[in-house]
Amino acid sequence: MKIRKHVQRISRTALTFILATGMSGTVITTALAAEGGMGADAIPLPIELSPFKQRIPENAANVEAGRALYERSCIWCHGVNGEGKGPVAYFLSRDTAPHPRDFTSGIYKFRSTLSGEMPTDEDLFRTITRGIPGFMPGFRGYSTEDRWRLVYYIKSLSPDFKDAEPELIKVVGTPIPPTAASVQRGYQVYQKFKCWECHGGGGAGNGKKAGTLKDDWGFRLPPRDLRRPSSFKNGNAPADLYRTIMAGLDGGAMPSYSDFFEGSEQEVWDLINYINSLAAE
Amino acid sequence: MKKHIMHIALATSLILGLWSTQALAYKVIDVSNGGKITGVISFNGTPPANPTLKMTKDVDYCGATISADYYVVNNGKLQNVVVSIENIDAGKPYDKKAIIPFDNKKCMFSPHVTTAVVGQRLGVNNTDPILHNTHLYHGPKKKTMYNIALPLKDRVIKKRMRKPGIVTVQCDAHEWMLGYVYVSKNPYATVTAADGTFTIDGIPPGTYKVKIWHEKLGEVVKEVTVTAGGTTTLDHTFSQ
Ligand code: HEC
Ligand code: HEC
Repeated sequence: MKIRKHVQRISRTALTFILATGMSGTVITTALAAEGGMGADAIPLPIELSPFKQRIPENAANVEAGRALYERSCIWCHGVNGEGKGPVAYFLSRDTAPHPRDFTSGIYKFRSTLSGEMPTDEDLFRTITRGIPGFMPGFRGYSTEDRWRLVYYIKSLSPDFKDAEPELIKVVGTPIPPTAASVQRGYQVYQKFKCWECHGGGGAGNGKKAGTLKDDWGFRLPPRDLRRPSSFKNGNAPADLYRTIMAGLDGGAMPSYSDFFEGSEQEVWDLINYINSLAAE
Repeated sequence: MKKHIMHIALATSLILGLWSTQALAYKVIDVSNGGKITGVISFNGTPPANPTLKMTKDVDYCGATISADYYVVNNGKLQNVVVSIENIDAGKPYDKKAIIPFDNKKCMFSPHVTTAVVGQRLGVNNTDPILHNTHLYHGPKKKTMYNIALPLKDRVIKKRMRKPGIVTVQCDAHEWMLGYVYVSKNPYATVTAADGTFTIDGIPPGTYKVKIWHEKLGEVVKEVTVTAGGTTTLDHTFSQ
């Protein structure tokens, strides 16, 4: 109860907080670049070898500690009960996507798991560490232990995490050099799999289906402008793009392609080289 | 206060957990002298007009407009109504490996309404030469179940239906597309045909709650008694 009042009282201060933590995409990107770029935290492949495995136990004490951290840093956007309606949510976007996530919904975009599955703990850890360019600051400032505590607290907000045994996307191959031939092959894949119908022929996010896309909460959600990799919410290293394409971003309109690449996963690496070749920044 | 809420949350998740294990508890038994429920679902009066859907994309292939298929009424008989026996935990066998067909066809879903048993797979196909994405949402809160791209024609993607309930199917690329899959806990669910009729057979004798559901007209639950080898008639008439 006290917390709720507190949040209301300082909602204006919170806006300042947001500006100070660098909510603009550029600031975040610069911060990431200083740490060696987005790629630094990319999941090395195969996914099983994620560096985030060294973790602390998921117990009541750590969930509770996570809650305290949440109330310090996340409540402003994600709200008192994790329902995504913090006082600052309003300033981010009113009628357009994304709104801060409602953690009680159990819907997650940035996953290394198949569409419809819950994210892995490592996925959540990565999101909290890196933040979301343009929308959410990264929390590298918190110790590894504290970031795990946040993961456990977030998980406690949705019953869908209980007994979840998410199935991972299949990772085949590793990034390949962006030779002209690979980029050309990637272009063919982009055409064949009709990414252009949403993202546009030149990747500008202006395909014929772009205009009407919405997220699961009914807010307008345009396809990403693929020429601006620093705006990619899920990261722009090849391993990140592999996750985006195969898993899709559940809750938004970006669909999962893992079924269609089954047996020809190598083509994803060409497609990634093509996307990178579009970069105009 | 917070603690209290946590306790309630814990209790709720325990109950939910229990409920979901029970949902999976359907047992196949020998139903040698099963009964049958059969009937006709009707609509009384003039059904509401189906809206005309404006197809704003892929017009050259799908056409510019089409009438929605929310109310399909022929001579007062209502198609696309789900009829399901809710409380049978043990009964006739069914094909667990069956693939339930679900097609993207001319920028509409075909069939518009279908049923599947928990654990069976939906075989989503795209017979159009254009991109569709099939986005399945579970339950009244419409939680995303799957969002799969269907860029290529005639490639069936199989997706398992894990939880019982109504699944709403949409396509982000064509916002007018709408369909439903009723996922039942047992193989005693069906959809009415064009003449409004349905039949459910192989039912162990007993008294059951039968749910009759239509996407726009809502649901009705009726109690029905089935006798060994007998046929019970169950008719229902919806009206506005
Ligand atoms: C400035 C507002 C803001 C703050 C502060 C913030 N978030 Fe977020 N967060 C967002 C927005 C907006 C989204 C949704 C992005 C989207 O859907 O594209 C989001 C999404 C998420 C997601 C979901 C990612 C996914 O896979 O879909 C997680 C997890 C998350 N935030 C955790 C946290 C945690 C933990 C904190 C505090 C340490 C925090 N956030 C602080 C704005 C914020
Ligand atoms: C149905 C429309 C649609 C199709 C088809 C589609 N996308 Fe997307 N894509 C989107 C939308 C919408 C977003 C933004 C999602 C969000 O912010 O939640 C997006 C985001 C992305 C992103 C940025 C992810 C990030 O980290 O921010 C990449 C990269 C991408 N898509 C690549 C592709 C590729 C490659 C294909 C084809 C294999 C493709 N998309 C097909 C709609 C689509």
